[in-house]
Amino acid sequence: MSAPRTGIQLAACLLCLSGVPALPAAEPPRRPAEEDVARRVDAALLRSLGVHEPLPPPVDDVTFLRRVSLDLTGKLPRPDELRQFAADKDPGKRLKQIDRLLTSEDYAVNWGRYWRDVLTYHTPASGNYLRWELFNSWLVDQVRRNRSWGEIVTALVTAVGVNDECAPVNYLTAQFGNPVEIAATTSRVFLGQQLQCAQCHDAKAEPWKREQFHEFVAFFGRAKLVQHKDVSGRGTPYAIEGRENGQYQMTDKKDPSHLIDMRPRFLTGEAVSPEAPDAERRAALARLLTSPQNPWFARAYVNRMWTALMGWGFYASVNDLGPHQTPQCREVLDLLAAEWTATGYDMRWLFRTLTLTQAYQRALRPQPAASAAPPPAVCPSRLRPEQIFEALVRTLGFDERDKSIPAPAPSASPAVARHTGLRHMVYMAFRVDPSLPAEEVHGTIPQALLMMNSVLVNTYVAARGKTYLADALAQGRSDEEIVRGLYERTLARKPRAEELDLCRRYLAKVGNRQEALEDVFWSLVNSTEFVTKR
Amino acid sequence: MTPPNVYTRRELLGRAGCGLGLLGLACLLHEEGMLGTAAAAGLGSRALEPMAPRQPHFPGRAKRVVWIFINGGPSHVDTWDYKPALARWDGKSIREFDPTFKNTTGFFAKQVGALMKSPFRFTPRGRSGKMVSEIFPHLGEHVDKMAFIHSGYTESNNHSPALFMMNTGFPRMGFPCVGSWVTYGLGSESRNLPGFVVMSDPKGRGLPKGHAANWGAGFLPGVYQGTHLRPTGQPIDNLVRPAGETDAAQRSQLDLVKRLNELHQERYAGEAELTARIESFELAYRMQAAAPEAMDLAAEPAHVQKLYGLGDPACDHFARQCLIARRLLERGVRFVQIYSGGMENQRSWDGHIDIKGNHTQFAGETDRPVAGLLTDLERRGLLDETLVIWGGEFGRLPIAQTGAKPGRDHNPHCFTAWLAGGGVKGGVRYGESDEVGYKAAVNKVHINDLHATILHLLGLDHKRLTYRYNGREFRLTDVAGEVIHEILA
Repeated sequence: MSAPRTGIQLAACLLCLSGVPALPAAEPPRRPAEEDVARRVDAALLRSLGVHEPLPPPVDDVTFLRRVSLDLTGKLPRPDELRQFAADKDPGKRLKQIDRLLTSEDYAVNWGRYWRDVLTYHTPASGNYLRWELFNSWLVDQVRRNRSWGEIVTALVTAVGVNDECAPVNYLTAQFGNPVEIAATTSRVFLGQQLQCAQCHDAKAEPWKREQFHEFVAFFGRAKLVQHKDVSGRGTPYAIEGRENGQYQMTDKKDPSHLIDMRPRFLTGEAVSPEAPDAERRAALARLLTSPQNPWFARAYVNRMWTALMGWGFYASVNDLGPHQTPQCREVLDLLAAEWTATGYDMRWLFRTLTLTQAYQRALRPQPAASAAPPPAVCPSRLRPEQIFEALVRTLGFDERDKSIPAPAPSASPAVARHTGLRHMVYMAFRVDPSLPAEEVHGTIPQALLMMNSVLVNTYVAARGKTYLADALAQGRSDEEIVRGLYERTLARKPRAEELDLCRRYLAKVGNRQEALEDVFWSLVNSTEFVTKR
Repeated sequence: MTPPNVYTRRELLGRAGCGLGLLGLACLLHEEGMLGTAAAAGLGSRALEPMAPRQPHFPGRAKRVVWIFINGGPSHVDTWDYKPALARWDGKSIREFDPTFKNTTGFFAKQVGALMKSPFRFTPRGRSGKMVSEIFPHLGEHVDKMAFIHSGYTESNNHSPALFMMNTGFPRMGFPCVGSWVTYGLGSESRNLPGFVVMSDPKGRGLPKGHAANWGAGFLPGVYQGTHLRPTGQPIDNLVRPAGETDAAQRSQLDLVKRLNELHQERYAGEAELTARIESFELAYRMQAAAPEAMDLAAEPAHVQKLYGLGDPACDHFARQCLIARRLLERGVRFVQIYSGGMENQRSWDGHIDIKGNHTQFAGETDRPVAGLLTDLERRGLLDETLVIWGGEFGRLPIAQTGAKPGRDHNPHCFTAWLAGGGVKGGVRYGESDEVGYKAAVNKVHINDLHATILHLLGLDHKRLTYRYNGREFRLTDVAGEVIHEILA
């Protein structure tokens, strides 16, 4: 199974590191003004929803800052940022804040992690098949450089080389180089099309024929997984290389012993020659995937990002934009997809546009019941696992590298370890497929026990040691000052009068001041609000 | 700040529900029919109280399941599938018996030996006279309770895919296991314990291949995944509240959380559902007390401990797990799975080397405890409603795997499993393997059929127990599966 590394592979690898040639654009991408598109989106949204009742009011500054910070950077705003933002009289401060966040390192890290999880959530691949850290940092770097989504997808599907050198190859090796798995993920994530059901049968309910799926798979039919020998103690990494010849074959349903050669053909009918080598096949697929004429590429991405930011999607599932599904507010989706395509798939442009809409900047509305019309506003969703971890870091004020805190990952978590330490503990407990709709994310007992009883939470909500509460008490602050501080720190807002009142009564009831304040802190960390984006 | 909304009845209920837990609140909302159209369609209750007991599709004979997973692949011809003809074929090439035999059937293509008779003596047991291997002196007493399936077959000869196949119906990772489907379908009778519990080898021999994916919920909501009791140390992470914290203190903290959440919900209509969906504090709180109580075997009288084999160094570890299983089932847990053995080779029933020594050891670890469990369940009147399953991920070949002490290699073409208890006809056998036990031959049973039968015994129609994921309705049995009516009581 092992093969020596060849010069050709290294050359191919350099190519993928330096970036594949950009889309053959006849003219430089037009860049529609975000503010203008945001206004048109808002108008189209209200038209589509036929909203008659009064609209939700604009969200207050402090809630907006928490929402947009979590969405763009995955982190809570710090108390001083909150106060500064609330006090800022500049009418353009929200736009300025969005731009600050979009150029921050945290933005790149947050969305790099998001894509890492989307692309690898379902794989049981061990470290030899999936160089998790390398793949993550490559994705973070793509976001940091605001590389076009078309170029990123091209790099992923055309990658060649060894996976501990050439990061995007991990997209393929993490799926064991299996063309069927890779094709299914590629169509699901990049096109929002569920082809894999057609792998086995032509179901009446499925829009795709079995043959169409296997023709799609054939684009990967000459990509070969190769295991490498252990070189200088780095394990046995895997590579993807081109196969000299051979055809991907589909089993004949009438005679299972008979296999049929499949010619690579895209869903819209374009085919490449059966003689085409691996590189040509996959380059052709990348062109077809990312072509402005492809009806699904931009829609799948726009629907996914809208869902992540708004808490509800045009389509119920980001995985399924199939022909048998009817989207909500089609006009809005079409508008955004067309304008985003015109930018050359500029990821930052879409974030800027979406966060500038009035829809995004209105007060929260609850999730609509299944099949009911969505609100022209954001719906709550539970934070993603690393957003929860970052929120804990900021709120509790601990050092991630603190080895004195035990970090057992729940034993019911998947077999493959990804992170280490405290981050691993929290990540594994809250781990969830980022492609899952918000209303399908459920709490579990290991999560509750971690938040209630873990040494981590209980050490840092305590009023002794090097903790926030211990400091606050040592500085001689009043109960009310401390409770206000805890609210800012934990929920990124001020306590309301009735909440202050409840905490005051609680302190009086418990008697022991230190203990009661610990309880308040603990309770805020354990509130629903703490783990939700709102 | 926006002025407070006019209270809806739901919000008033939330306010009035000071003494109710979050789950209680959700339950109350459900009972009051306050959850709108989703609840009316039967979806709301599952979304809010995913573990609430639910009616089966039709009255099921079994209410709960304990699955003794014979991890590594038990050899059917050395345990329950008596093959006298194998003595005649002993020493002959399997190609004389079956010219289509391929070296790739097993795992070790270069250690293919001749057909090999069982090293164990078989004797007739029970009224049914079932021939049973000498390695099961205690379990042999219970054959009249068991329905044997001798014609099982699977799709992979490799441990992980075969374990996934047996647990989820698919030879790949990422699908819900039987325990998850069952708790999704029926909820749990316990409000204080997880509905689906898994125990693995406590003797440091590792987890079954594929690890937690074997008790994962796949695309079902995470609440349906098996709760794995750690074999050493704290059985459940963070189960013990921090040192020095009293129950009363924690209760008071949780009540404060509840009040804070309620204040929040008064302001934001429609968030009771969100809270109920993503929080599990009340169950977690109750579990802190209930789980250690359920696992405290000191509460069991000496004669019961002895019945399971506690204190016997050969089987004490498995006896404890079987007794914990009974205590969990008694307390309303829906599904318990116990793995015998750890990882592959000599750490489980994976007898590549020295089948005699391997199976003698692992049968010795489990025979008395499982027999004790059957006796105890019966004495307590629980067996009628408890489905007991014994089986592994595949069988083993009737040929020797060559070596200093002969072993047997993997055999995906044939295995034996037995069912007993709730709704199962005792003392019967279904299906047959061929003369030497190489392949399932008569009334072959696919794993989809076995799964369909397990669900049927619980009152669940395997064709109606579905979950929509990725735009398609999924089932445990994919697009196949026939209930084996012949083994139903």
